Amino acid sequence: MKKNPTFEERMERLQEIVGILESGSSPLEQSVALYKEGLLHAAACREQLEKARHDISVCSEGKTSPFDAPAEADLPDSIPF
Amino acid sequence: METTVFGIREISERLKRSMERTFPYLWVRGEVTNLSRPSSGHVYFGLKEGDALLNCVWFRTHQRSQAFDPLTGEVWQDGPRPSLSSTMENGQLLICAGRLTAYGARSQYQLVIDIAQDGGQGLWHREFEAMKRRLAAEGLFDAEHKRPIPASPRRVAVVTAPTGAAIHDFLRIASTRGLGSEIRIYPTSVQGEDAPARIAGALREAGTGGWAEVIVLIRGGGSAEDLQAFNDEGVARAVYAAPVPVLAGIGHEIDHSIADFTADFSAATPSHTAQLLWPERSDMMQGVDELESALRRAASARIEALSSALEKTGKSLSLLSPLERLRMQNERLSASVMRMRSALDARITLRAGALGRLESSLAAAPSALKEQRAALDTAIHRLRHAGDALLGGAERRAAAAEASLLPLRSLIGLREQRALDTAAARLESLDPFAPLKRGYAVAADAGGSVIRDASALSPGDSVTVTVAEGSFTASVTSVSPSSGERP
Repeated sequence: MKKNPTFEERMERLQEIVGILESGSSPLEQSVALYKEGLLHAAACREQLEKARHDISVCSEGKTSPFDAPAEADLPDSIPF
Repeated sequence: METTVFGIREISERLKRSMERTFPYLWVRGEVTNLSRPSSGHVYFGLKEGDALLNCVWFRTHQRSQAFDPLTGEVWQDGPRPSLSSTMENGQLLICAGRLTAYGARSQYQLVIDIAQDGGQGLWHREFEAMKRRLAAEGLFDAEHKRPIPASPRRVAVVTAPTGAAIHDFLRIASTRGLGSEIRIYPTSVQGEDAPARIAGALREAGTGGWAEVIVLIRGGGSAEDLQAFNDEGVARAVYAAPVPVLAGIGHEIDHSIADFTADFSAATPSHTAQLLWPERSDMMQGVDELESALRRAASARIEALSSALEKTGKSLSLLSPLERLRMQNERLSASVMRMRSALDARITLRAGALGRLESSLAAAPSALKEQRAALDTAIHRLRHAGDALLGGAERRAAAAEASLLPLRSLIGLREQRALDTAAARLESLDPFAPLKRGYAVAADAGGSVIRDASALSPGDSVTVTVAEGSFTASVTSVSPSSGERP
């Protein structure tokens, strides 16, 4: 597994680990190591989800500036959705 | 001068009366727009001319199939036609007749349609259809040009009005989805005369530099008129030319715009585009939770299986240890030797008693010596055979036991070795087959009974003769009855 795996890569690896453990073919030491590795991936995925925020900016005439979301009150009344 | 202050109800009533008096019944011509057919069966639409608009309602009860042309009074030669209310569409030019009424509750006025007639296609609609056909012929709408929208994109360009409901909806839905992407808003106006050029410009800007993985083109819902900018040829071409997939979410209820047709994928609403781009974060969290539970279950099952295997192996290891086997074999051997010894002792004591009695009666009756001698001989003979039969099995078992013990012998302590040797020597001294080793033979008839009397045989009978080393089958050629003498 590479150094900074993505969420999807971690989930894939976690799935793989569960598969190996369920197959019942791994010896004790490997089983324990796999379990520890799996827990790390799960924790990392959870942390990634908890910290996930979109980074929103406005790009105009080649310049990028932070986006200030308009307050609800400023929006047109007839929000169709 | 006196100023009149009207009540709202009063002014509404007076306007309504004035309007209905001035236009008791009228004919108007205009292009259909904002057409809506709710389930009530009434049809609502606007008739427009340039930027002037007249709201119209065509109640269900007035929507009759027509047997004649309402303008000329000519009867349709090919039978009645379905009501125009079910076939009319936006952009169509209509000539309508009806009453103008004011709707005081909403400060609105509208035309209540009585008769409507196709007035020929509107100019704008004809131009629009021609442009659509041209773009279609050029392949702008072809499915083979559609690129897949990337899943969970990390860099998203959004072309929209920066203050509209569309971007608000999009960001609200996006906020609970995905793993944190960069969203760049390329602001543009989405209605008005300069909107098409600005939308096309923003699309081009969003596509340059290779930054975006996907371009989202969104606009909140509105009437067909409000969405005009998205039916512009320049916008369609900018969408088609975008170097990355374009996801359109132009809020419509009925129609699709040209931009929708050209986009790589057309979502129903701006919110829908965000739904299509990213999975819900809570769903992903649930996925992580489920996988982690599966991991815990699988790991504890694995440890459980390994430890029970260990326990089982430990047990069978102690059962299979050479020391344990040696002990068990030794026990079995001792038991066999003991049984053998006591059985022999009992028999010998019994027979020795009988022998003693015979000897004393022999001494007491010399006249009967000869007969007694013969009886004695027979008794000795039988005693031997009884011993043979009894010990035969025991010896074989002992031999087998010894053979199986042989490899273990070296493991047995000196004391056990001596005991074993003593037992073997003793066994040897008691061996009923010892006479065979000295040259005697035992003959048995076909039934396996030992032959003690030659008169029981006839020439031609088959007998089995057992000697010290093995046995053989012989045929009787002649029989000599007992002479009373031993050979």
